Amino acid sequence: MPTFKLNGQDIPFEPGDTIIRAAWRAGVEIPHYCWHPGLSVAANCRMCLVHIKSGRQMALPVLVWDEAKQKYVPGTKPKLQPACQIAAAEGMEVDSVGEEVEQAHAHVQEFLLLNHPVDCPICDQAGECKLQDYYEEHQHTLKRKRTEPVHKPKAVRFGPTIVYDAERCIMCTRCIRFCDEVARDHVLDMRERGNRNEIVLAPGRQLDHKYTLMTEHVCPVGALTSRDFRFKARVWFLKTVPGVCSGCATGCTTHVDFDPRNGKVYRLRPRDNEACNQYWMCDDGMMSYKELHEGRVLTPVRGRGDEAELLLVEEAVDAAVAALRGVDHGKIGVVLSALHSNEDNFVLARLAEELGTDKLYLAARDAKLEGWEGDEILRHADPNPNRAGAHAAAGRTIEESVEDLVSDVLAGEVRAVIALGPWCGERAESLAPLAQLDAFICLSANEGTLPELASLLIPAASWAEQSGSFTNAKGISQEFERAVPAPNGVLPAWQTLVHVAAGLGLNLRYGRTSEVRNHMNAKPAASAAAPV
Amino acid sequence: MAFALTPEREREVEELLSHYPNRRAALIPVLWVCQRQHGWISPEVIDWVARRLELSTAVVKGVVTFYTMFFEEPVGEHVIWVCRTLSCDLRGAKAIQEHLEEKLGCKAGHTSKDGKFTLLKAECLAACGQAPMVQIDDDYFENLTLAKLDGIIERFRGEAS
Amino acid sequence: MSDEFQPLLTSRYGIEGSHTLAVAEKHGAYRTARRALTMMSPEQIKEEVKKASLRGRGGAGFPAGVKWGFLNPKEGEEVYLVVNGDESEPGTFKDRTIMNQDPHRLIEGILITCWAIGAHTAYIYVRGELKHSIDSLDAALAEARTKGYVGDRPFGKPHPIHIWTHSGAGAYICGEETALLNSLEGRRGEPRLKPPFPAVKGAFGMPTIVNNVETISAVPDIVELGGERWCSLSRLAPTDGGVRLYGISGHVKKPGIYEAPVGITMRELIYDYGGGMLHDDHPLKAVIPGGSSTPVLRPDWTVDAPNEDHPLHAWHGKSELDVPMGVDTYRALGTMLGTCCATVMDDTVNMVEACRNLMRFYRHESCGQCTPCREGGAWLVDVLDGLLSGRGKVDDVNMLVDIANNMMGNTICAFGEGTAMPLLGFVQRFADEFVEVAKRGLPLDVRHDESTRALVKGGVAA
Repeated sequence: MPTFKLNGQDIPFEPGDTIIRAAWRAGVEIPHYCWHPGLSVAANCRMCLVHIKSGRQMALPVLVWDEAKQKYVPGTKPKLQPACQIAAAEGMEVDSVGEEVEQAHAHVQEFLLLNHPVDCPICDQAGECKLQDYYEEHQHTLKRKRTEPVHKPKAVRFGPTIVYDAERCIMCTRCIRFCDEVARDHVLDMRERGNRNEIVLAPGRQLDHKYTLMTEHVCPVGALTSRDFRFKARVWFLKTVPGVCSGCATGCTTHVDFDPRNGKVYRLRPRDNEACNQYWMCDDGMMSYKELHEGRVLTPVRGRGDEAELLLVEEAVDAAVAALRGVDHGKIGVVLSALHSNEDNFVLARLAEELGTDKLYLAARDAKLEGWEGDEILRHADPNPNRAGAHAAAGRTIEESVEDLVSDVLAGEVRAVIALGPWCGERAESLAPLAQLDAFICLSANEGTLPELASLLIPAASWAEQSGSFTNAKGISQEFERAVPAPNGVLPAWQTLVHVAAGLGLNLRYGRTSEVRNHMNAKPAASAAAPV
Repeated sequence: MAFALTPEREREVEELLSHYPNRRAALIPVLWVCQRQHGWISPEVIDWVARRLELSTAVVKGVVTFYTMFFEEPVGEHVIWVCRTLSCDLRGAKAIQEHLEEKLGCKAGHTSKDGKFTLLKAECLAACGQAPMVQIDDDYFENLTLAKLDGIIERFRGEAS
Repeated sequence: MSDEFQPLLTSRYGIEGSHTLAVAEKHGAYRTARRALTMMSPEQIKEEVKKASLRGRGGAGFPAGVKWGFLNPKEGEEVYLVVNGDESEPGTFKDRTIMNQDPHRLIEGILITCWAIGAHTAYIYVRGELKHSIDSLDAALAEARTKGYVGDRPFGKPHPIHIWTHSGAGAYICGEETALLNSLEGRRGEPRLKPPFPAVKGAFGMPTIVNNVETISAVPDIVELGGERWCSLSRLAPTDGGVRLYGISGHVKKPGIYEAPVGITMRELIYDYGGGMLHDDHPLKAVIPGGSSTPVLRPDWTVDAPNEDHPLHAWHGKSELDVPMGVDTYRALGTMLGTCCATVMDDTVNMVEACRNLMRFYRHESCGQCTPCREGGAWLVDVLDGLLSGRGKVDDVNMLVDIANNMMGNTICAFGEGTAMPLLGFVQRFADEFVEVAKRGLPLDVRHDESTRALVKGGVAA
């Protein structure tokens, strides 16, 4: 690979790379606001100015103070170039440090803060704001502008998800470019010019496409804030673990931001992933963290309707064992879930194997029923994060749906059911026969159609409460980590299944996630991506 | 109320579109045609132009606000631009502006009470050798004195509305 | 002023009906275009223009022949010619005279240029304020189309040439060639990132030549006289050829546009062409040589070029006013020739106030795209307002220099430099005045229209 020198360090680059991109890939940050690896080059912030020492030098006239003459005299300074615009070239020598470059950075930074409101205490960007970070790193001078700053509109509602503060805006146009280039909806533009300009919404429109939260995500300052996240948390209290979006079969990788003090997840952010979602996520995916705190199943329930009784978590396993004891193992229907992790599905499939039943079914969300629409950008037509993983866990493509399960129950082929919840692709009314089963055990993190039908409902840890993995439609298996503890001692579904197996005297011994994974990866059938 | 061009102006738009390899290039000329008919670029005009040229309204809004000659608000019957840039200012443009403010009873940036004139400050209008000068609608009035200016304003006032 | 000087660019100025085809043609219009299109090859024309050393008349002074040489269209690419008639630089008012008084000269120049560079379509981008210039060009174009000069077979040549005017709508920045192209394409007039340069990727993504109105208007004369002869009309031949339009405004007796050889001195322009200072008792204090972006000159400053190698050595010790006005000579002087339209200020003008006037212009006209220009330009006005109102400090003068130094070169287009350079020029040449104003503010009775207020108010037109 060809290389160039950045501050004396060799940086490899691919043909066509700009200086900043090659440096970014090598883990070296050149300060920038407007540049984003996933967007076109605007070169408008001028924060990434560097000195290209090799090649033709251009000198610019400036004035310098001549101490001896006690007057300003003509001098020169080198022409600096934006690292985001200039292509890297073999043997090029670039400095992003040094007196002249640092002076340029300091002044761009000062220019950007001239009219910026110093409202950091109430700004949601505080703590992850480039203006703050770069002030410390590149400016550190006192405010020299003494007059009233330019005032512009504040708290402008751009749409259901985003609020705009023009005074905080640095006009980097990332949001405009994102809407144009990624969301393919030119709903934002710039109005006016000079230092009166601001981002403007298309007249007659709202910022309401499927990727609006990405405008906040790309905003390097506090100009665009998410109505969901606004004023909810201070980011320096939040911790982050890598996650995988549960919203559809694309499997966007995420950062899961949570507050360890209260065990709450506050937001998701896309985690860069060239192979999958690049730098982006859709709004539905971004908001999918809501399911962690809404409509949760927290307590085991035995019985249905008026006869339902609450159990302790510890009692749930015994109740399951009791329900299955005496049922012909061959007539136990096992429902894997396209919503659950590879680990949950694999252990349940293994349990089926140990039980000696071949009656496997797959529960999956139905796009039409959910009103889900895919697109050509990120949103997959399949609103399930792990259909491929469930098939792989079974070692085959599971053609049988919950509808087939209903037929088999009616035919007397299935007498008991163990299912991973919460959703399946059938309407509740067509599932009525399942409500007649004496033993319908459902493990679920959330309420939904299957938990509704269960004779025994056992809470399961959500994806944020365990480490696990999803296999997306492309067959890529991606791991996520535990962010927060599960409430009330609730276990991941696969662990509950291991205990149930033990109660039934079956040989299913997994203690840690790694053991499940090792076994899963060792089974060739299970590791291969199943057709979708 | 929905905006539409007169058939004659619509033909003008058709002609303009034939000048360029794509529709968008006609944006500024078409906005001109609309403003000449409607007096200003109202939200309805933006909507109409966006549909006519198959553009996002955001594009049209961005362009309208970039250029000083497109009005986002209704203006008086006549728009007076007083050039205040150096060559004119050296030749008495401030006196011209002050005189107009007094005569029209409104400050620069505003419209006279009778709605006849909108008075605006302009940056260099490329008539530096004929300073001081004002532009009224499409016409330049150059080498002004206050007396000359009085005559010009009276002429505009005198015309039938 | 040379008595035997034969006007070229302005030869039809002042003739009754010069803007009509019949009159223009009677006085020589289209003769050269007919010859060029029917008897000359594009290469021959390009060669003549190269030999002419025609330096771009829009302000940057780039040799037009060299610019044309950058064209190298790929298979299937259409070449465009775009004529820059966005004349908006304060102090500049020359192109308008061509468009109003002799539109056929420009059209003739466009025809020859299109043939030379292989273009079939030309746009004349005219600032929106100049409605009369646009109307004048449109009327002239209509006549030229009727005659068949503009159209599918100009002068019988199977090389279609279509020419359209395109109106701006009020934005100085559109004079920057890539901002102009954006404006032509129906976008905000924000300059583009370069490279690619217009010759590679210009209007509608196609190879494009953008030339100033006066540059293109000089082409017929160059072809008519031959590049070498036209070039030799200049006093600065062979590097800066021909004749050009000079403008003069401000405190002179005869402000206006004058045609003269390249290389006359500022002293000649002010005192011979401009008729001298407006008031005999108010001497020249400063002159902005070629539009507001060019650093100011002062008559009592002398050329400091003791070294024999210095391009201005011949003028060492002489007043700045005595250096011939050329692209290269003025750059060596520490200013720029720009559009060659001077703004003259007498001793009543306070330089801080004049500077503020121009900085306000730049604040108003900045496209706002990139940070140093958007924020720095507005801050300069802010600091100057403070100084003039007496709220300033002496150290603010240093701050002005610091701001401008850090706008220089750090912006997307030359507008940043266009703002910073004149500011630095004012401070360098009038530092004492800035310090004085910083200490005391501007006395209430001092206004830079001091010497003309009576003329305006008294009803006596100058």
